[in-house]
Amino acid sequence: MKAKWELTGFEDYFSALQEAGKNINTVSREGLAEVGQMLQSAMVSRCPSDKLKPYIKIFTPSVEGDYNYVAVGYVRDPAYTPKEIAIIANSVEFGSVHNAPMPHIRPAVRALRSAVNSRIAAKLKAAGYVD
Amino acid sequence: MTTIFERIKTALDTLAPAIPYALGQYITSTGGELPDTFIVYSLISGVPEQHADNVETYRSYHVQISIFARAGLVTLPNVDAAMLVQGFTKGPINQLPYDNGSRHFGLARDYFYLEDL
Repeated sequence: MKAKWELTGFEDYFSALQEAGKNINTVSREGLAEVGQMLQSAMVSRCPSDKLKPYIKIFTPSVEGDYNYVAVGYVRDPAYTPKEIAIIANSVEFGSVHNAPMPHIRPAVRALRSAVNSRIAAKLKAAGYVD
Repeated sequence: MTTIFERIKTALDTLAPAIPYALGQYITSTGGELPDTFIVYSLISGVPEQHADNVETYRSYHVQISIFARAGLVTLPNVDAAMLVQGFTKGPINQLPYDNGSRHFGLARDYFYLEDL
């Protein structure tokens, strides 16, 4: 499981910016990369298992087009998360018949939701793209 | 003030027919068998949402209700209705891996509750 932060609803705005010769995508991706690290730190600090912590990763933010996102957590890709780790992580996060949940992905997202949105907004504001 | 755990308990107590439930993990007596269908509930997070004059005014709770059933996931207790009556809103649903040992299928349902303090 992972958290995915998307910046959407900017289509018209992007079009206007493109017409103005500006590129908001670069700033958006920089902001997403920063909040990706914030989320990763929050998830790792809440993770109860030292074995799992190295697998809480940031999936490289999108690099092209106007669809900007960053995914953080146990990325559903064998190159990032081996199958046995994914099974254990699922059991730890959601619990099972034999163990209570020890959530660390979802609480991190809930706790940082406001901070993440503020950081992205600040990034865009600092670049002069929003008031 | 009603705690979030009391709210969940109140909701689960209304299920008909009654389903055994537990907080965190369902534990049986030594050598005891788990029920065919049972529920486990957990608090995932509780975060402040709003402050006024340095006083917390709103807090949101994220809870998980896991339903385990040997008969599969087609017919499950109507937890949604019970939780909605108690003021929760519905969140994501995740299927849990089949447990080969106990032979239970599992479904985790997330709910949210916004508490006006």
